[in-house]
Order: sequence, then structure tokens, then C-alpha cells
Amino acid sequence: MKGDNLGEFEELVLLTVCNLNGEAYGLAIRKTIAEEAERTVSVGAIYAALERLERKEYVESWMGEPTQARGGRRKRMYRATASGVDVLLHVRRVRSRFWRRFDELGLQGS
Amino acid sequence: MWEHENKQREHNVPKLALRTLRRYCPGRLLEGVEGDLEEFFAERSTQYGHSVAALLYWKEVLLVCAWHGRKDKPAYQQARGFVMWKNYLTIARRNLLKNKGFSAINILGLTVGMACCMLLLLYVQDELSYDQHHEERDRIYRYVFMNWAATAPATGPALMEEYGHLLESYVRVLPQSVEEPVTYRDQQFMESRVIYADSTFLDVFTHTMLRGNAATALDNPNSMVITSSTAQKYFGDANPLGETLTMRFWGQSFSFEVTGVIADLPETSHFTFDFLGSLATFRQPFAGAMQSTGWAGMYTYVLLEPGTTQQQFEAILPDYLSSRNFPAGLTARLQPLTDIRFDPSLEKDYGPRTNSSYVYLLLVIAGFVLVVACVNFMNLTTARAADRAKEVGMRKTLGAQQGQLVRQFLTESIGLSLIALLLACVVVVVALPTFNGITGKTLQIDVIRNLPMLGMFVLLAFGVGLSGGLYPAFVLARFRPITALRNNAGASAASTRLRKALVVGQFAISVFLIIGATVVFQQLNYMQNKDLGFDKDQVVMIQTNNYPVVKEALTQLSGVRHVSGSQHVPGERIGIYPVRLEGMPQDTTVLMRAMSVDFDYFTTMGISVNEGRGFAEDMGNDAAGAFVLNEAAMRAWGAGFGIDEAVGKDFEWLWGQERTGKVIGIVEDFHYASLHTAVEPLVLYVAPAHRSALVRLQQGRIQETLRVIEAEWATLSPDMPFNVSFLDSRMDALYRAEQRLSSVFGMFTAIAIMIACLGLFGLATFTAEKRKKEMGVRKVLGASQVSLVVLLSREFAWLVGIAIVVAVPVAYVAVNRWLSDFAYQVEIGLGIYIMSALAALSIALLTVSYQAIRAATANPVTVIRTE
Repeated sequence: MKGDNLGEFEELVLLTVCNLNGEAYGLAIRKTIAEEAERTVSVGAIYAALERLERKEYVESWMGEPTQARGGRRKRMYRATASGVDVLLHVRRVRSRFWRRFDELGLQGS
Repeated sequence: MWEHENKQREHNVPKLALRTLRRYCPGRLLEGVEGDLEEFFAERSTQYGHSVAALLYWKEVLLVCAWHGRKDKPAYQQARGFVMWKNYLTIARRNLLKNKGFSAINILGLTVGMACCMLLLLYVQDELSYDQHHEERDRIYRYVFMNWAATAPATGPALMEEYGHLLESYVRVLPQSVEEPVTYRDQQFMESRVIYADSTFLDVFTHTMLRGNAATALDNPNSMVITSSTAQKYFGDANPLGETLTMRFWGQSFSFEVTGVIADLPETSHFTFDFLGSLATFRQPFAGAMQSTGWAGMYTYVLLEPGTTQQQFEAILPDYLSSRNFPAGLTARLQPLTDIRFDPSLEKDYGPRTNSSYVYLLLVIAGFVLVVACVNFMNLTTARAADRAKEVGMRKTLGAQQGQLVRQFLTESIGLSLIALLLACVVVVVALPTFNGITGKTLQIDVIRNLPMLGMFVLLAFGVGLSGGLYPAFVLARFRPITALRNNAGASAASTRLRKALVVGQFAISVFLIIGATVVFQQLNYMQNKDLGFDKDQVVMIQTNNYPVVKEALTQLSGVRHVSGSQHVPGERIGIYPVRLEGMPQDTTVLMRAMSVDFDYFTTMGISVNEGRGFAEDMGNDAAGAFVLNEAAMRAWGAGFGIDEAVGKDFEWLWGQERTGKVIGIVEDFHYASLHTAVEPLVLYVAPAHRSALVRLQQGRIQETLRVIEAEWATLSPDMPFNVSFLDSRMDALYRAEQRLSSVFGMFTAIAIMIACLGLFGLATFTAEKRKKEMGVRKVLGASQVSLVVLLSREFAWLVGIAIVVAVPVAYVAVNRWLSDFAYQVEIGLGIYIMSALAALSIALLTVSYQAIRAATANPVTVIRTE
């Protein structure tokens, strides 16, 4: 687990999956990233990241309810696995160390 | 349930996109992705409308396909979407850089070819866009009677009166054909770009009205519309409306009020005017002329009613003509507005015209150059690829699939051609000013207008890249790895044959172009240097309004040999008038060109009088009743008596102030018009005053003499600026179109040859490479260097020979056709063909020789050693 590094985008997607707390599916993830991270990504890219995460067993998916809005198709829902949560926490721990040092410098941006 | 819902929804989502998605999206994700995109589409639809939503939907679908690759092959065969293409590009780049020389040659050839083609297409596009800016251009026609572009003033109103149901409107245009002074307060300029037209001019033709009202600007007499740069010239930034300009027309002065300003005319307009005055101004002062039924003085344009076709209107013209008592057999027709630019054959036409055949010629040249370049590219790429059999074998062994190899080769090849396209665009932008200089145009790159052309070129680049990559892609990629690795299986016989055929084609085109360019150049030379029947050197023309005084004064000057004057200078159009010759019945007339000249005209111009005599001041009756004809007139007379008997026969001049007299002399035919047309019958008579003085100057003192004249000019000819032009440059100017054609032709021939040579060079390089060892062995066995060079070159010489044999007959036919348009043709002997053939051959051999010599002089030891 500590050996598999999480790509920057994968990390973002995984976080979003967690934050959406059971309501995470392709379009919702896309929308959240667009709003919160101010990044426009294509649905295809999102699913590519999700596939990779699923292959690393950081997320698992199941089929949700069909709705009218989707022409009766079911949603593929995602949620983080325990190891997924673990890897996120690990990543945050490592990052925080670096950010703390950075904050001590007191750098001002433009 | 899903299927039913689908049918309801799907008529909103783009069906093709959905189908594509289903083909390429991995199975387990498909339902989720489809649903997501469905939601996405619905959201965007309400946000931005259906079309934008559809576009965005397509984008998402394509990205999914890119990310997730094909779905219908088992996993181990699926190459990951994006990733593989990146690999192809990397390999392509590496290959490009590995063979920098070869790649450079390849790209260079294609770039130059494309750039030339683009430039020529821009030129053609400009030509074809003449007069296209008029909104009603499809309904505007010019009334043409027989082959006269100008007609009687009475025609317009008459047509409108009788056939008003077919005509929406008509406009008559009367150009001021000479320079006249235009005065505003105390400023005066000589202007010639003046026309007068009916008030409907601004309705029929489209001009951007910057000030004033288009509908009423020309309604009243004495109103004038000017172009914006003219307004700038006379009035600066002030508002010119309401100001008064004084114009001179036909010897009288008129005051005009400025009632409008229009934007400067686009270059691509057959109208060329800075001043547009109302024709109504002359209704009273020149009543006779304005209502004349016989004087071909105005251009009559008609605007057909919507729904009326050209044929419908032309159908009533015979009735119109007979109702106006025109003799039977005379015809009239409508000339579409957009044809005016391209028909140089009409009498008394207006505006610069070009032959439409030149435009087509340029298109053909553009096509040729492009073909040569593309063929080159394909040839070189194919040749290079043949060497990569080993690489293919290697790749296959390591697991590459055939499809991947195909894609790899195609990527390389298309990549090269796209780079060439990019460079070509850069070249076009950079070279445009120079090109404009040569062609005398002001072409600009208008991205919007040229977008279709650009798109076409992108497609072309893809096409060329595709065809170049076709051989390696499909032939090489099929090789079994063992075969490829072992045999160094290079070019098969078929591909070599193809390559040779391509070289032959390229050189055939080059030979054709060489011959063509030479012929054009020679014809031009011939026309410019042919004996014109008069001496055009050291003669200047000076405009004056005080001829007698000027003549008197100039004759005194020591630097002046002769002074004379004429109504028209050579190159200017000479009017056609009715005359009657002896032996013709009383009520018939013949139309002949006629011009008034001064007594000393023949001496000044160096025209020889073959029978009888020229004009002489001391022969009392010459001023009123003497006529001199040229030999062509005699031939046309057909009166049953020979040239030597013509002197003394009666002659009547039946226009304006009629005069009768006798023929006093016959002069040799001299070319008063360009050599495009044969010398037509001409009659000359005497008049006391002329617009232009023709001055033959003493050789070697020309500038000095001109300075003297200029110093005195104010006293000699007040009110007229000193306007001098040289007769020989004026004559040269008649052939401007041919001069340009010659330059363009020459330039592009050189380019085509260069490209062909590039190709040949590349090919020679490969052949030499391949036969390195063979040469080494031959050398060891005792062959001389010369014999090796010959051996290598022989193959190519043979190819060029075939090209020559193919090209010469075609060139012969084409050349004869082009020359037949000229009344006076230069002699094209066998010599030209032979020279061109030899030129092509030498160029080819030169190109090949570098490689041949290098191969022949290589040290056999080094060559055979590496094994």
C-alpha cells in the first residue's frame, strides 16, 4: 500500500468519492471537481481514474437505481474501501509535514 | 424497461455519437457512462440549448473513446487508447531526427509545392472575385451590341420604356476618358478617374455609403459622389457634403455639389473611379449627345426583374432592334456583370481586363507544381521506407501487431506532410509581399474567406501523407518477421517500377514547363521588339492644350528633331467612324478607324509612305480634304483597283463635320495597337490642334532637352502640368499581362524543376547507398571511376529521356494553341524543344552526379569491409 503512489488526479477523485459519501458517481464527481477545484475534466478522464483506483482496490463500485433522467439506466456508484481511506490519510500525513515547513517560511504570494 | 425509456430519450441525444460510444466504451462501464452522459446532455440542453449540448456531448463521447480504447477485442489485444498514439508520435519524431537530411529534403519539397499552389490559388481567387461585391450581381448585365461594349445613350431609356416589365432598372455610365482639371477653391488637380452616371447607379451597384443618402445622392443635376480617399485629398477631415467642385467636361466647366462619400472601391472592381457625377447634369448642355441613337458613348447596364432570366431578356432583343430600324443581321446580347473582367475582345471596353485563359493557365500551373511536389513526397517516403524492413521484423518479433505498424507508418508519413503544410503557410505569409510585387496585385490573407481553401489543403496533406505512407504501412507491415530480418528485403520490383514512373512523371512536367516558359518569354520578346512600322525610341508624348504654340517653340530647340501631334498615341484606342469610299453606292457606309494627325506625323514617327505622299502644309487642300490610308484599308476596300491606283480616289468622312476629299497617299501598315490584333484599316486626316505633342528627341541629349522644355512649359502651355511620357515604355505597357505571365511562369517552372531535382537527388542518394557494395566490388575488379559514374547515371538519364519523349508532343500542342491567340506569333523552331530537353537532361545529370561521383570515388575497402 505504501508502495503504490496515488496520482494527483487520482487523489482528487478518491477524495471526492469519500466526500460525496455514498452519492458518488461519474457525473457527480465531475461536477464537484469542476466547482471546488475549478477544473473541467471530461467524463472519460474521470472514469479512467476510477478504473485505476478500482484496480488498486481503493474504491469499489455497485450499480444503483435507474432514473428517468438517465433514460432508465442505472448509475454506477463508487465508495472508498478501507485501504482507500488509509492511503488518503497517509497521503495527508505526509503532505502536512511538508506544508507545515512551508507555512513557517511565511512566504507571500502575488 | 430500459429499452422503452431509451426510445423516448434518445431522439434528443445525437444518435451517431451514442453509437460510437457503444462501440468503443468498455462493457462494464457502458451503462454508467451512457447514463451519465444522458444526464449531462439534459443539463446542458436546458442551459445552452440543443445544438451546444449536442456539441458538448460529442466531445465527451470522443474523449471517452480516447481514454478507453476499443471494446470489442480481448484485453490482451487492446492497445490502450491515448497511450499508443503518443508512442507513434515519439517514434515518428525519432525517425525524423535520425534522418535529418532526408526528412529535410522531403519536407522542403512538399512545403515549396504547397506554398506555390496556395499563392497561385490566392491569385486565382482574387481574379475570380472581381465584381462579386455587388449584391445584385446575378441580375446585373451590360448591354452589348455586336461586339461593342458601349452603346447609344438612347438605348437605356428605350429598353426601359418598352420592356419595363422585364427590367427593374437601368444605369448608363459615361466615363471621362481623359485627364481634366478638378478645382476646389484654390486647389486644382488633374483627374481622370471620373464617371457620370444615371441616378440609379447607387441602387444597382453596391457601394458603401459613408456620408449622404444613396437613394437621392445623384438625383439632381450637378451632384457628385466622391470616394473617401478623394475626400481626404481635397477636404482633409472636414465634411465634404455641400462643398462645390468644378469639373471640366467636353470643353465646358461645371460646378458640382458633393452629395455623398463612398468607401474606396475594392481592387476587384471593373469600375475605377474617384468621382461619380450625375449624368442629368448634361441633359441640357449636351442634349444632342445625351439623346443620341447612333453614338456609342455610354455603357448601359440593366438590372433584370427578379425572376427574369438572361435568356428571356435576350429573346426580345431582336424585336427591339428591328423596331429601331437596325439592319437585319445585327445582334445584341446581355453580358453578365461578372464576365466583364474576363472578356478582352469587346470594342471600346472599360476597365482593366484580363484573359480568362490566363487565369486557367495559372490554375493548371498551380496544379502541376502541387502534383510534382506530392509525387516527390510519395516517392521519397516510399524509398526510405523500403529500408525499414529490418525494423519491421524486429518490431513484430517484439510483439507489435500489424495494425499498430500500419498506424505507425501512417503517423510518420502524415506527420511529415502536416509539418510541411505548416511551413508552407508560414512561407506564404512571408512571401506574399514579394508575390504581390511580381503580379501587381494586393493579395491579402483573409482567414475567413480562405478557410475552405485551408481546409482543402489540410485534407490534401492528409491525403499525401496517406499515400506516401501507404506502401510501408501495408506492404512492409505484412512481412513475416523471419523474412524481413533475414533478407534485408528491400524494394520489390514493383515498388522500384512505381518510383521510376513517378520520376518520369515529374520530369515530364518539368520539361513541359520549361518549354512553356521559354515560349512565353520568346513571344513576349518578339512582341516588344518587333518592328512596329514606326520608330518608337526617343519619342516622348507631352500633353498640351496649346498645341500650335508648343509645336512652334519646340521645333526651335536644338535637342528636338521633329515635333508632331496626333489625336491618339499608339496603344490608345482609335475611334471607329463611318466613311464612304469611291465605288460604293450612295447610301452605304463602311466603318473604319480614323484619327487626326499633324502635318509632320509621318516624318516624326518614321512611317514610310508607300504610294502618293504624306500631308504637306503647302498643299492648300490638305487641311480640309486630304486622306491617307494604310495598306490594310486598301486591302479591305476591295474596290477592284490596286494600291498603286488608289491615289486620287474619292473619300468621304461622314461623322460630325463631314468632309469629302481624295486619297493622297498610302502608308505602310504600322502597329498603332498592341500586337494581339492584326493591323486594322486606318484613315488619317489633318487637324490643326492635338491633345498630345509627339516629340522626337535628339539621341544622347534627351534629359537635357526635357529640362529645357520643362523650364519653358509654363509659358507654352499654361493651366496644364508638364506631363511627359515615353512612347517606348508606353508600348511596353501594352504587354503587361504577358510580362506578368512570363515572370510567374518562369518562377514556377524554376520551382517545379527544383522540386523534381530534390526528388531525384533523394532517389539518387538511396540508389547510391544501396549499390555501395556493388560499386566497391566493381572497383576492385578494375572498373574506372568514370565508368562507375556512367553506370549509376545511366539509369536516371534513361528515365529523363522517357520523360522528354512524353512531354514534348504535349508541349507542342499546348504551345501552338496558346500562340494561335496572337495575330503575330514568334517562330518556334525545333531548337526550343531540343534546348529544353537538353536543359532537363543536364539538370538531372548534375543532380545525380554528386551521388554518383561520391559512390564511384569511395574507397572500396571501407565499403566492403563493413559486413
